[in-house]
Amino acid sequence: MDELIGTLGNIETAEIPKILWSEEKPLKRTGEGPSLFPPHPSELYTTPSGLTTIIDENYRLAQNQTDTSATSKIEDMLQGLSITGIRVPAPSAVRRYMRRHDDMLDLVSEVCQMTRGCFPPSTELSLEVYHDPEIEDEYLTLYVRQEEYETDVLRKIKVILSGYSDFLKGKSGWFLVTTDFQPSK
Amino acid sequence: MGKKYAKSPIVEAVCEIRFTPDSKLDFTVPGLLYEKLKGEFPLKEKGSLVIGGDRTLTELAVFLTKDKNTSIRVGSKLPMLSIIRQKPYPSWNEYKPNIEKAYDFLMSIEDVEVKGINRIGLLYVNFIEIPGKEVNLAEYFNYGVVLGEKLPKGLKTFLVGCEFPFFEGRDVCKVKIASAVADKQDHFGVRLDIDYYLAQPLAVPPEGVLEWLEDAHQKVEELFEGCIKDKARELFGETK
Repeated sequence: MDELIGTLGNIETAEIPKILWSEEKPLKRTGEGPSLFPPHPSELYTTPSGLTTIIDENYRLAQNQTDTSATSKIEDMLQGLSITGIRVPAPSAVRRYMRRHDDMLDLVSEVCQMTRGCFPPSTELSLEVYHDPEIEDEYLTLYVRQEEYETDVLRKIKVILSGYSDFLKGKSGWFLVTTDFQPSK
Repeated sequence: MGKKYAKSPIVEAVCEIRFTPDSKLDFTVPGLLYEKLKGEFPLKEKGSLVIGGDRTLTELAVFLTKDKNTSIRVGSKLPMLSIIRQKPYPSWNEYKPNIEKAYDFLMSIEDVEVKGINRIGLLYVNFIEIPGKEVNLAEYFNYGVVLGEKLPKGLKTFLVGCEFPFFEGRDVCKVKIASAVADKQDHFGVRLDIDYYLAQPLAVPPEGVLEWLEDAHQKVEELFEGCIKDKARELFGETK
């Protein structure tokens, strides 16, 4: 988040939401530096109503759970995306991808929630698995789509990318936030 | 013996055994365990795990069958063993031998010194897709949201979780039912997680783990059957 704050430029701080869980439940890699998105006291929560309750409940239930279930965590993530209005047009493809790359779950979840908070509710966010037709490759993509594109869409995306790109290092898969300049579907 | 379903809703079964922190599973143990298991679990990967409340990240060795449907995870920093079966779930009688094998092999390694069992968990994740965008969940489940007459009947999302104690609180079963993103168009997705675990550390000795699992599985089966109604059983295609 420090890098993110450092690259804010002209973006109002309030545009970048605090990542849910960041204060109480940071992703902690013991002895390996800072959390993914450590708390920033100046930021405001910009979460849709209801989400906090659901996630808090999930968190409470997670205090003593069988942790090695990737499926459980994938479903938690998909439920969180659904509640925040992030589309997943082909959920089976996302499930399949996340099962193969379960080390990316927290990162994808947190970046999706952060991106949601960076754009107005009318902006469509769609999580899809991108298949590269030229090489046998696929990766997760969060598409940002608007009816009428704001002039600073790319700048906001760049800020988001710079906030998490370092955390992709060492992960088994890849995740991109981008736009294809298509209208919302 | 539980009921059998042609289209089992189980998408994942997890058996996770966490040893006390003073147990000795040093960094050579995963390699020694692999040597014993590689006939059936020839693939290996490096895995990681974010642990519960404080979300600490730890590394695990992962051994998989050729079809990758069954995996064994073993941790040395966090001494633990986990046996995971992805769908299609065969049956307890086919899943349990994998647990026994992994556990017995691990315990037979000379360098392994298990001081005690902190937690055992047996988790089943069920994924159910009900035709229709709006469904009356009460027709399918005996467990979930109770909606009074004055409340709207259509639900977009929901989450209900309860913890049931067993054996005077030695064990607890967490049953969670929640909406899920459906794979199929015009279907309503429901997820039913049944996580039965040893809630009192050290209450089961290392030699009692497999017996505990048998009891746990029986309780999980009873709870699952207690949660569903015949209309759900029809979806799963009950076989006699």
